[in-house]
Amino acid sequence: VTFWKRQLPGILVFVVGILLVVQYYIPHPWSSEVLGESNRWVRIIQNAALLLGVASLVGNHYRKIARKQAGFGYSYIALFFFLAMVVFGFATGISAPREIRETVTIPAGIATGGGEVPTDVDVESGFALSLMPALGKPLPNVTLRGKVDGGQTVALSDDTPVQLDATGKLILVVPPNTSGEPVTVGLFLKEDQSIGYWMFDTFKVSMEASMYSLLAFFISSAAFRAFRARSIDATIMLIAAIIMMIGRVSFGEMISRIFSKSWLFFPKACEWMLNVPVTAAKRAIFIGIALSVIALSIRIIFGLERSYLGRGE
Amino acid sequence: MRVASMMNPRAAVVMFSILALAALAPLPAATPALPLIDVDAYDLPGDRGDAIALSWPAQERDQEQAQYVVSIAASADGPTTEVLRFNATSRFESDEPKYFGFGTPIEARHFVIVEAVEKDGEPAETFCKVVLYEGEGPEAVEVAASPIVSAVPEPNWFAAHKTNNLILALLTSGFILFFIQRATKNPDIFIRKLAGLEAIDEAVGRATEMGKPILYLTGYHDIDRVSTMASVNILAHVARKVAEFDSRLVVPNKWSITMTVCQEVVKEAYTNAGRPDAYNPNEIYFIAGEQFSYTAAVDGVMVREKPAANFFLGTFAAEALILAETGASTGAIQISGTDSTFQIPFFVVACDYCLIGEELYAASAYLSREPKLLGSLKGQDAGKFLVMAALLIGTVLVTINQLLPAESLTLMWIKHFFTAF
Repeated sequence: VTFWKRQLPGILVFVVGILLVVQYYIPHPWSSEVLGESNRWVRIIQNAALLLGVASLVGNHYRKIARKQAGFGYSYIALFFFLAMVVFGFATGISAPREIRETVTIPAGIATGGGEVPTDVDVESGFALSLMPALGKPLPNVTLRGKVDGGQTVALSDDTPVQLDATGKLILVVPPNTSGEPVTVGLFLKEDQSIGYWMFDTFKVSMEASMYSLLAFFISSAAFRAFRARSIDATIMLIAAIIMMIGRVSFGEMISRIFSKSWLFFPKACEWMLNVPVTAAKRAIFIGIALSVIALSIRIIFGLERSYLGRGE
Repeated sequence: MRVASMMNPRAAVVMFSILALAALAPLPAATPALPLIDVDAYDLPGDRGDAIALSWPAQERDQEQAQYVVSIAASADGPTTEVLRFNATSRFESDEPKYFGFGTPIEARHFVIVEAVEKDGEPAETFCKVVLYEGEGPEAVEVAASPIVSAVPEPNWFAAHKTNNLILALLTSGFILFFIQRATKNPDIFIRKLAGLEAIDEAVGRATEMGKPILYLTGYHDIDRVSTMASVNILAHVARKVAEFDSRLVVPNKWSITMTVCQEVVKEAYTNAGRPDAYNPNEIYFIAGEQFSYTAAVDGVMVREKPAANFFLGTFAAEALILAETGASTGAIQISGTDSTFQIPFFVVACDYCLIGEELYAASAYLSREPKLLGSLKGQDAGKFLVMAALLIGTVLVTINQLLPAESLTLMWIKHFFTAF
């Protein structure tokens, strides 16, 4: 047990740690393969461990419901949508609908006299086809129709996508035209979105966006609390914040005229603050972090730091 | 575009065919009447063996309206492919300090890197030709050309351009190992107080008195990030305190592996504190895998369970302020620590204590008081001293350099020693 829980992890951390440090200085393809392979292993382990996460999530919500803990109603919703997403995701897929854009030129002869133009565009079931203007070309003022061998012809338009009733290469059916010019049209094929993708796009993406947008309100409330001149430090920060805010808004230049002859007093002060004190502080923090990362890595690689292995201090 | 749209399509097809045939034609021998470009082709140093380098002296006719065209082929008489076309006044060796350094005088030579051709899926000997054209479009005239030159790409075992990086890494690591070794002999090491870490006892004690849980978050990233490991190390100490105070610890996770590691760490901490029975693995759980789903779920936990203390330690992104402000609104004592510079101001504002940057990484050594770990902090300080000395000396030298008529090469070398490639 001691070997499996203490020595083996320590040996693995040492060997892999040293290997990956050395790998950074070796450009040979073998070295890249070592890195690529280790990254693949990480991904495999992460994905395998996802099952643990799923078990934890379901178990946690199940317990909340069983014990009727505070807010257990939300657990019903979480489990319902979790199951729905799993079922529809596996059944219909969650990939974004594919889009294909092609340009087809109808030769002058057919454009004038009418006829059929075979294309290389593959029409599949579930794809809706519409016309779009090719680059720098207007759409022809005649109704183009499309079909696949053995199928019905359908009228194509730029505003209503249509589905063809067969799978195969698209054939354009061109009515006679008097212009005598070759015609170039764009074809736009878009796959129907799956229910899984629709759920992802409609619920998750929009809810996450809403959550993110809360940040604006939280910044205001945090700023209100922070910008109270209770000490010298807070007062300096308040003054810096005022200059920064005025320098960043459109009427900052107008206000600059009150304090200075230059229109750019506040924008320039704001730029100076960002480029000099803020950058200097950031770099100091970065240097400290870089050295700390080296120190922590050495502690971990040489087995001095073992808290992360579940061994306390 | 206008010309193209007016062109007869048949004529365009014919023209395209001629151009395609011209591109597939064997490499023509350099026209004797044209000036020769003296091109050196050699294996690109410090690479994985899939590219070759070409260099040649700047030509008298290099000017804004002239351009170089580099073509490659798999054999001396094989079909060529144009791989590079650039203005004749650009791409010099001086633009590539990675290969030619900053300090040495660089003759005005052009330098380009070309991906080698492949034979049987492996990079192979690549034949190249460089031609200088004057003028634009169809009026361009060939004014100089190189003979066909070739080079065989070879994989390298050391990236020489990372030598300065290696020296600095070895130096810093040497300092750290030296001070670790020294700490074992002289364990009495002074470390300045970190208010955020001193407040851990206060936070856990407060939670115990109030009978409310303690919330601990390890950040946005998985366990493969050093910041998450640093956070997990602190968790071990916090969990031990929680076990000793007989309080309750809740650790919602964004990553499954981190969750498993946290479970193991907390379990061990409870065992070390003599309270293995108090450990509840269900309190360390996976809550959501996406950034804002995770944020919303953790906010829900804060609002419903109203923890008395919140710990936000690790790397955080846009969710930092949302979490910290929600925590502040519930009246919890909040201790944060992050290495993401954009989030530090948010944490400083919204939390009671904030560990800034390196303090997060130093926390486990600080809390354990283990001499070896504290020794590594001293080693870090030595590294900082080195950087500060370099900054100071560098600033003085660069200032002196500005006053000198010509830039000194030694000073240039020192100035650029810290440049990373």
